[in-house]
Amino acid sequence: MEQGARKRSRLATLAVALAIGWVGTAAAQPRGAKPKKGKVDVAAQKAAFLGADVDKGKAAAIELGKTDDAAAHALLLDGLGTGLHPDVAEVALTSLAAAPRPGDLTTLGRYVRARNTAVRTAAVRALGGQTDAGPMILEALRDQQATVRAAAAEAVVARKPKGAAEPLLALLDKGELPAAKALAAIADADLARVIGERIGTAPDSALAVSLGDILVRPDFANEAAKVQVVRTLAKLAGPEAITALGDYVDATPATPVKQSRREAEAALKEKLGGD
Amino acid sequence: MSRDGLTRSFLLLSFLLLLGAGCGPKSVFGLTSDDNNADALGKALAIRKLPAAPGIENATGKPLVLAVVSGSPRKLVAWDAEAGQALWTVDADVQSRVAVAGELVVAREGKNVVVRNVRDGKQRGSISVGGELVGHATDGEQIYVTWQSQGSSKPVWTLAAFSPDGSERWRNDAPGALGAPRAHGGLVFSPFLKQWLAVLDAGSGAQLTRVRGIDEEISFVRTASDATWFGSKTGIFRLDTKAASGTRAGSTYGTTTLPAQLASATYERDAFDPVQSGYTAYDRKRVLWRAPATGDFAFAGDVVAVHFFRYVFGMTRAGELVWAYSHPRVELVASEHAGEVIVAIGANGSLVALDPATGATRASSQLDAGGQVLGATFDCDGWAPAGAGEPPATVQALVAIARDPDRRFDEIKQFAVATLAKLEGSDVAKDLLAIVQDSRTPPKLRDSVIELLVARKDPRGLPALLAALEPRYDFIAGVEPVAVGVVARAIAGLGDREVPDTERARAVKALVAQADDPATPSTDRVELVRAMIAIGRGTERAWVRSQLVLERADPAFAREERLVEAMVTALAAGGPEDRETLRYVATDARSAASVAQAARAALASR
Repeated sequence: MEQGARKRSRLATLAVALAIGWVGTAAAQPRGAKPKKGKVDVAAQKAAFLGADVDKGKAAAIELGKTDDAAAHALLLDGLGTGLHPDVAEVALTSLAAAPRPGDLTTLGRYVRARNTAVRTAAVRALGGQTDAGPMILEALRDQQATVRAAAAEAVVARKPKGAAEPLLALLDKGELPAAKALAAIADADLARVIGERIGTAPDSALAVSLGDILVRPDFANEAAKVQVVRTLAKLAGPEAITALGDYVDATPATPVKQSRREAEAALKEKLGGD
Repeated sequence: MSRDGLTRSFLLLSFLLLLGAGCGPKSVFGLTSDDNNADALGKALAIRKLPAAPGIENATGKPLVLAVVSGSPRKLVAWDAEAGQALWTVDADVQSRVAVAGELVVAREGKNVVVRNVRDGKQRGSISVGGELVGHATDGEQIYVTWQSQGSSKPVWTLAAFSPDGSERWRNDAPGALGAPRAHGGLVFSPFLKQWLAVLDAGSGAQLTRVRGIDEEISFVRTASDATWFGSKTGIFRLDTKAASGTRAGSTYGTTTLPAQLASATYERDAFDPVQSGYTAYDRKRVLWRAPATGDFAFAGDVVAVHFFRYVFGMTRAGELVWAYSHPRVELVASEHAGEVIVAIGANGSLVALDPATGATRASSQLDAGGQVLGATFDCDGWAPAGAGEPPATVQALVAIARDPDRRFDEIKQFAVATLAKLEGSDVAKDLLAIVQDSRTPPKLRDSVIELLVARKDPRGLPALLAALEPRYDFIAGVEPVAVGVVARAIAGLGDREVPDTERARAVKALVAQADDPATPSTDRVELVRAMIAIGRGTERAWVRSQLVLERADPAFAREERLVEAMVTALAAGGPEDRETLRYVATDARSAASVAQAARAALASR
């Protein structure tokens, strides 16, 4: 592929990612990162965290998330358990997720039903750090709010709960990109085939994003399955399919020769008018 | 008619009679003749020849339906209801009701009144009507026709008798309005000026006597095979010697109380309305009744039926529903109480015979003459079909009525839901809920059903109410619970009823599940919380405490004043733990100011 075409494809990918807010959202996630080790004066933060000033409360919640001190964690749980302003609760949940502990699930279970969408989104996202959170994650995929469903899709990637494929496929059919990406993250060869069979049912753009992500997964090594994925991508319309094929060609060495890469190149050439 | 009204009519009549004095044709109708004379009435009725028992009046002895069918030309069909087949069908431009008795079938065809043979439909005679037809009748011997014409200076009403070949036997003119006549057993009955019922000798046309209505006007006269009745929209008088009193109290008189939505149904067609000399929409709104020919007044079986378009309702004299029948697909265009059965025919020719006591369909058949049935006359007195039939599913019929998309039936829908709401049982609550949840339900009706559902307070409906709370918001499945707030209000209404603790616990659990759902609208949530407080008997307070503490700092929660009020009030009425929670909310810095204030107020009120 020519350099110009690759630039175009990357720009298209970036445009799609920005359009769905995926990049920004994903960047803000703890993604299982270990909390920074640091010394926080928990006693000093407590008054602010449990006080009436919302800004001070938020700042304190951020500080409490910077340590893995058990006292800080307990204070976060205490504040969440006894009621916080939604702005403070949202931050507190994010801080809580920075150092997840099994005992957090009870508190998270209350907040995944919070009426405030931002708070609920933070709680659902935090489920990704909880071993036993599968049922809650699956339920959150059915939430009325897109941001909550997106957070649940992220949590699916983190926890890979049983039974996630079916609701994610239903969301894929509705064109939800977070679900498309989550499917890509959990797909094996069989699921990849099922995703490919959604052609005509799911929007091409969402399908291309999902299949493209599958192709570039380092742990997805089934060449026969990859060939099928490439062939499906070749049938899809829109810039997302071009981006997906281009990214795969870029990410795959020319040697040893792989049929999937060769067919991806041919499909790209076809889609770009033979250049 | 009031006494003042009668007085005015009297003066008007006097004026008219003075104007008409000495103007030619014989007039037996006037002010000066005797009326309300029990002796004269008794003598007149004594010459009446009645059958020993109610029975079919036509000479074939078959229960006949004389149906007018649309088309060009129209058709007149004599349908044997017992055999379920046509006796005959003729092309006939029928423009009036059909009268039948003995060997004769009589109807206005085109401009003339045509006499046909009941056995084969062949024409026997034709009568030229000298004005606008008011009505006609036959007793099987002669034909009696009333019409209105314009005299030299004033309108004239004429009642005349004709032989079957169309030749005139006698004629009486009247200076005031005559109603459609009826004839029976040698007597002719003619309403006059809505004040009198004249009784004439069928042979000579001479007036034998007349009854003057004192308490009510006389707007109709009706003959069954065994008796003659007259009356108004208000009630029914039997024509016996007691009728000479002219009063309700002195006569054999009956009436029924109909629900407001059915009040436009009438006991009989208005004999003075020329429009009703033909089949009209009035035939689709009728009270169908039968009463014995002797003894005190009573509706047969203590039930009357009300035919209202597609529906027939069996009702007590007090207007309480006994059964409901919903005719499939089309309106019933004509109906009659024939004693043993109520006979009715749909616009598509579907004929049914309903049991007056139960509404069960005892017979049915399908008349197919290639067009719509425009109207029909029944001669089915005493017809007793062999079939017993199953009583109609009244609840289902009422639900079908309530959910009928036809906007003409809005009032009857109100009646249906009001009646449904009086019935007990889980199915009824389920059906009422279905009406509420149906997006096609008109808003006014929906509001009515909601109020009835909330007001009925039937604990047996609780399972249906809880079932309505089971659906949860689900973006993937596209499910959204419907009418959750209404269901909650209905459950709240059961708070003071006898409900087992286990059922109360189930209710609280279901209500909490909905209240916990973040997608539940605030307006529904407050009803859910009120309901759990009403039905929970304190078991709900753990949830209330937890939720109040969790949400007290949320400005959005603080704005839900009714919800906050309900929660703090419930806790204030609770135990020490509940009040301790309130004190915490009232004093902690994180609580929104209005929530803290509400908590303080609730504590202070105890």
